[in-house]
Amino acid sequence: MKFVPAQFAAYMQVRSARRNLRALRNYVLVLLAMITAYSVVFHFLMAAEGQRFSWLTGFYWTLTVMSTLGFGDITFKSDAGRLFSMVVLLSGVVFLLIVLPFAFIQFFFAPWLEARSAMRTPREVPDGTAGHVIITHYDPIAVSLTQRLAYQGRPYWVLEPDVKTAMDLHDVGIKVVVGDRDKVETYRALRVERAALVVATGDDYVNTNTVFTAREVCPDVPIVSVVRSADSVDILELAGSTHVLHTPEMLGRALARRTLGGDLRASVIGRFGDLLIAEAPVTGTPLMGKLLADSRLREATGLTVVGVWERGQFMIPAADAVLGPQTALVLAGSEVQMERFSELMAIYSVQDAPVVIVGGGRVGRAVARALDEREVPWRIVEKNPSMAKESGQYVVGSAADREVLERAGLADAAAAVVTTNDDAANIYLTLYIRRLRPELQIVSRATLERNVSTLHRAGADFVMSYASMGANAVYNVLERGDVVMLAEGLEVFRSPIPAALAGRPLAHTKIRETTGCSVVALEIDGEVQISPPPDVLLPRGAELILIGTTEAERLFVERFGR
Amino acid sequence: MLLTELLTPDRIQVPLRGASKDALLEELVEVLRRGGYLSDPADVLRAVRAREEVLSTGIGSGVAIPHGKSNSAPELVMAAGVAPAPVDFDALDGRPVTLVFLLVGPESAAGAHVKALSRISRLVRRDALRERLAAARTPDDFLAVLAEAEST
Repeated sequence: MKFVPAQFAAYMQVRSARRNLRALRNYVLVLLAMITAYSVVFHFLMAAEGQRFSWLTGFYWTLTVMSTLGFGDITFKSDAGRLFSMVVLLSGVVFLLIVLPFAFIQFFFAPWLEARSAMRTPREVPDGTAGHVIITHYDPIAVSLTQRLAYQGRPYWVLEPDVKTAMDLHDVGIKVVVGDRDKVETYRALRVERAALVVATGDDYVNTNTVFTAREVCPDVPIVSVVRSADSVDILELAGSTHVLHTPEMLGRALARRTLGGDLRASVIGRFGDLLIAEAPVTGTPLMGKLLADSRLREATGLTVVGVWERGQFMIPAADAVLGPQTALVLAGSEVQMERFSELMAIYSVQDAPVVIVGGGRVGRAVARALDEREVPWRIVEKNPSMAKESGQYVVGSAADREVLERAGLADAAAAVVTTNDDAANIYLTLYIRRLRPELQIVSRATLERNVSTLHRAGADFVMSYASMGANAVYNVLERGDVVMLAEGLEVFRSPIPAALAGRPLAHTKIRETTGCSVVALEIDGEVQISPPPDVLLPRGAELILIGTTEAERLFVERFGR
Repeated sequence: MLLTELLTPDRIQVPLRGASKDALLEELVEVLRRGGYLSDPADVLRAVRAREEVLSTGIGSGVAIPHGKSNSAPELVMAAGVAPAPVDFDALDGRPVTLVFLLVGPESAAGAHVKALSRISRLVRRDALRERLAAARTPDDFLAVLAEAEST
């Protein structure tokens, strides 16, 4: 009950609460006056009957009669006394037993409860709120985004029209404001004009309305809209969004990038100015079985290997690491260097077999489009006949049916990509496909971040969740695009050189030892120096580009600030 | 872009006479020189050898795809040949090589270069096609087999 004083304070701030309390107090005063009057009358009536009692006994008798307790130890003998007893008894029943509890509930208890729930579900943000992020729907992206914002100490408010839902959100620690998304007043109450960002995470129709309404209140706040359909991109831009994230397309592309099939070119996954970050598998190339140090990649292409994936696990590479069939390289370098790498690798382990895509929804079709660009053949397995296009590339049927998967060519597929929007189904299908093809590469989509590790355990080689990918993209808009998510929980990010490190040689900074982040590049006046030597002095005002897990990034921020 | 657009009968050598990896490279560069496709054959050969030094282009199953970029090759061109006696090429699977495809082009054709390489590699993964190409007796045969494979 440690919240009681706070609740009481909140309760007292409501104007109607003070009025209620005054009414309650007046009623209690009337009651006290009545009890006193009865005690005095008792005293004189008893004296008239010849009985002597103290003043206190008068109060004692009045209360026992009014409360209908009636001990019966003190009684009147005269008719006048008994008539008086009846009056006291009846007024006791009415004022003490009926009106008092009612007044207590009406004027105190009910408003108290109301104030308590109002505190959990405010209708406006506190005075002085600024630099906050407004999230219009608590969807899977918002789940990941709010965690991330809380982590970075950035204030946020989730908008929710339903009080009950809002209360549930409040109870799990989400900061929520109650209000309708299509009302101008809501955005005023949210202080939208002082917000850092508005994130519209509803469906495409609702988002359009939301963005229009928020724009009416504030013409220049940045608004990010998350859209499902490609056709909505223009509409949401017209409505006033400054950024439109076509998330199914982004997710489909991210999954396709990690899918083996076709040739082994480096797939670019992020950009920092002229610096490109790319990934490339080594299976089937002459690099397999070699030590990273012997690969001569750097001499031949100029690229730097900044990390390696080993069965879904990211590692900062050691020179004596052996490149195995499950290894994928994370490379950093310029466009020309990437091109050189692709030229080197384009002839090896080229697969003609199709990639089997499970699920023909938006994400599945985006995977197919990305594979088309790489000239990789594919087959989509789709349960719903109306979603499947009339073409040989679509196989209609349940992916949990072995015969359907065989028709799609799973037996000699290059890889499988599981893309449905139901995490439970994806876990089941990943496990099922893993049992049919123990060596196949399986790439799986999760909707919620929390199912990522389950999908890994079910046998997926690479997993990306819709939630964290979307949250990362929104976060990039907020922080001006300084983070590239390589995979769940792994990022490349940019940071100005911390004051504590300026002027010191890179090797002395112990960034890797103390935080787990590794320096990929140094950017001085827009000039990117990839893999700077350990003795380079870190100039003031320059920027570091680092790679590390979310945890490592947090440690870096904690230790050196941003 | 189709491979048959990069290859003409005068650039197909059936049979190849070279008995070593280097001899094969020289022979195919010579084929291109004869056709007048190179301004400086020595420079092209240097580029192809340099590429070969990084990682062998013997991709396995008796196929090699040597390649290089040099501005001495003004446009993207291909030469191909069949070695009747398989030649050791330090291939990925250790097997000697029968089919050799040489691709050279200028620095500016980087994207097309990668696409063409990927395309050759994809086509020759088909066992039946490799056998039919190796059995070709004339450049026209060779080209006809390739054209047929590309159209399916």
